[in-house]
Amino acid sequence: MRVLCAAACLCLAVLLAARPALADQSISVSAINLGMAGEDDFYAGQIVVRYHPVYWESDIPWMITVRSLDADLGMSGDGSYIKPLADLQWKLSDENQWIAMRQDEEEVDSSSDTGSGAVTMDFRALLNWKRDRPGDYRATLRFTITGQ
Amino acid sequence: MPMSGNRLARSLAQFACIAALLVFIGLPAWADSEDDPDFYLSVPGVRALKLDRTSLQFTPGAQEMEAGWTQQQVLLARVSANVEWALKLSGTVGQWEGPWDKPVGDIHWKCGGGGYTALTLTEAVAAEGGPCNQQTVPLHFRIRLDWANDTPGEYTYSYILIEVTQP
Repeated sequence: MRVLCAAACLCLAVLLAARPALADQSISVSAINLGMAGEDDFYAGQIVVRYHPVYWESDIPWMITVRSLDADLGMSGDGSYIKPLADLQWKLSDENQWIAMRQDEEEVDSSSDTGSGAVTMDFRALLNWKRDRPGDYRATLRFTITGQ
Repeated sequence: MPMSGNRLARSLAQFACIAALLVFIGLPAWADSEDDPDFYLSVPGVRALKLDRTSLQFTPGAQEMEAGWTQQQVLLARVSANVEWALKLSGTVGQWEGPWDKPVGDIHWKCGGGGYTALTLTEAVAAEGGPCNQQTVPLHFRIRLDWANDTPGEYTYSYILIEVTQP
């Protein structure tokens, strides 16, 4: 019995010693304010914010994801219209393909780089003359950094 | 029934190994954004107007002088709005520039069916509508002619104010 206990304790000690330290990761993103839509934005069908920084720190290879905590972008001032979440779209600034925001996590970027840095993202809201009644639209986003 | 020594030792060993394995594998590392950022967009009521041209030119001949009217010309207004709108037009000065003080009321207009209306310095509603994307509103113009007063020359009227506003 003593032998078994000793073996188990030794095994535990070895594994604990071999285990890497807890990963240190953080992510920080400021509010994304697209401002007030105007005539030109409506004609363009969108209002865009470019190069919005997503600051990360990680001492292990990482992946950043984003999702919305809200199911939609809220209701128009007169209550007649709910702007769909998919009208908010994002992409990495150096890419071309816009991706509709969802409540499910979507991978934004990943890297084996460690330390700290920033990923720049573009955000846009689609605008439609016939649908988008006046109002203040918003959604809360969650960015997550995970170890790969 | 009390556990035998060997069984207890085996259980302890198993527990230690499982615990060690869990500690070794660990939970995946992750972190959420410190303050979940909000996305904001403010959409005001927006009304916009585009005209297919900015001037109309009439060159009446004898036949039109005889009829008392120029031929009509059409200016296309394209309205876009995310709220209710009204297309309004008015004159800005009382007379034309030219050989004589031809009155603003010699400019007549209509929108859609119905008869022509004399342009005045007071806003008149040509059309109304709800949210739309480049809805075309044709504005027809013609000029009243008068043998007695309209002596030969260049007549200019600047400007007719055409605007899209709230109804």
